[in-house]
Amino acid sequence: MNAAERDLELIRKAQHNSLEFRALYDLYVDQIFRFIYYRVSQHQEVAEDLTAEVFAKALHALPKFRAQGYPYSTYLYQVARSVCADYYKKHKEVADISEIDIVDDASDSDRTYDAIDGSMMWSIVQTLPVTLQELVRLRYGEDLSHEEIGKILGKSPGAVRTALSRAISELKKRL
Amino acid sequence: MKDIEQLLSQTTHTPKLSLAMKERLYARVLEKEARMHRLSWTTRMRGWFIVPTFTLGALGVATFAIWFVARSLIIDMPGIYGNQHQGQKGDSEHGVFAHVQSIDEYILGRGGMVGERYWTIESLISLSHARPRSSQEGVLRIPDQRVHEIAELFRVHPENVRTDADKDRVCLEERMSIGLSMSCLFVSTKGIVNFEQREAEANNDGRGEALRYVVELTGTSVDEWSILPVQDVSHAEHVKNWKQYYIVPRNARTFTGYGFHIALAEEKLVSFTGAYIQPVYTTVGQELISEYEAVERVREDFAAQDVHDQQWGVGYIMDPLSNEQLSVSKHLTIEITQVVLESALFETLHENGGNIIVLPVYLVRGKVKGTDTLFEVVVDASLRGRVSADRLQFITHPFQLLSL
Repeated sequence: MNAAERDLELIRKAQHNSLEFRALYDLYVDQIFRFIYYRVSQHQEVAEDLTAEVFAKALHALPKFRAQGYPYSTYLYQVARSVCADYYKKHKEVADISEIDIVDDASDSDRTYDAIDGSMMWSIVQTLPVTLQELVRLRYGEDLSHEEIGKILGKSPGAVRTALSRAISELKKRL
Repeated sequence: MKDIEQLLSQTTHTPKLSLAMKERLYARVLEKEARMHRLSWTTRMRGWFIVPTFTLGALGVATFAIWFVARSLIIDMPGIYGNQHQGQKGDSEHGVFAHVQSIDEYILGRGGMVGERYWTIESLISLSHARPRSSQEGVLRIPDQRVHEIAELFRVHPENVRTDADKDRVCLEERMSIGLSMSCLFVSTKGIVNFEQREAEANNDGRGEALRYVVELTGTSVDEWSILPVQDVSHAEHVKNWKQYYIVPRNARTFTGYGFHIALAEEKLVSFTGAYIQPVYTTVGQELISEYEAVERVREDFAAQDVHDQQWGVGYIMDPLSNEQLSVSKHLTIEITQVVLESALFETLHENGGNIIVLPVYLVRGKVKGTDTLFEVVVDASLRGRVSADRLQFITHPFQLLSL
């Protein structure tokens, strides 16, 4: 049983009994929280609130939900992107620093490629444009397939591959 | 050198939610979902209640607007929607007067004079149930109903209200037969009875008979009326040696305009009879001009830009109570305060009747300087070329001096 089939079973149960939604929540809350956490500049409280918003919307829309052969997380990520977009519309004064290219002064001089570990690499990821950040996080952070990422972002798997390649190139440049 | 993709994939992601945090967050999920549920119901309820409420409200407003407009239109239609000033046929003798008053209303219908309403030419046509006799605008045909109204008004049989072949003219045959020798008799708003009498028959008995007729018609007493000799109207061949009189209520504070002379800018003397425009000659300076020319000049002057500053002198005014002329030589200065282009109903006079014609007129309002006396005069605005030799007479008195 793959993830999509497993989720479908859980969704059906939750549609019959909303208390069963908890299983879906437990399954995906970490992923969604992380996704949102980095989208809102690692603001813990905001990330929590938006995560709750995502699951609340998902629960509210559950009776009408129709699975399309993807894991439920795909849908949750779509909702999360929408919720984040709404958040930034309402809080225009809060700059989304993930959209700003941050130049790390140390990267060029002191740091060598071999000396960089994973956590440092993720901090460099944060200097990428937000669209590339999303791609990298979904692919390498959440280990989603190109198809799933394409579904979430509304792109074809080929476009996702190309964009990921560009993101890696960008990361190399910034090392 | 490690591969970038490997580095990213192998790294453990932070932050992670604790169990307690997850519980707390789930509680918020349920709370938010419950709020969404309530909101969706509120939205639906809003749709169920507000939309029908607004729809019904809009329908109500539209219905009221339609009713209001329709009511206004109906009110303006004579005789359909109760006009308080309008008397009814078959009323008492006083009611006959009321009926006449209503006609006057239709004729002049200006605020302050006989009513508050302004009646248009269309209203007049509606009143008379007349259809245009020809393409000539404003000329009305006297319909059978009008003949019956006149017969009822003067208490004669309709057969005695003779009309010519085109039913354009009307006269009261019976009037002649009972010896009043009046070719016309009009009862105006203020109760003024205007009649003409052949000079040969102009004696006290004739006038007394007319007065008795009025008294009978109105249910009043003789003491309440005065007879005013107005002016010799022997200017026209077909009414040679006729005299005209007014029978005026003694308590009427109304001066009827017949015979008024208004001097225009002092040296311009215009014979201006108001009720009765006659083809006499008058002087403007040393120049002899026809009355039509004089009227035309008056018209032109009225059409001038600033009529408010013009000074007019009143030649003489007839006192209806004493039958004496007031200030024959004394010129009163009057101030024109308003000139309004309106329409009025005329009746052309013939020996045996007349035509009803609607003509544009200037309604001139003003004040006698140094007094509280207001006046109102009607001047034909398009006499020339419209009516040639016919003498014109207003059905109602056109010239009034009203005391405040």
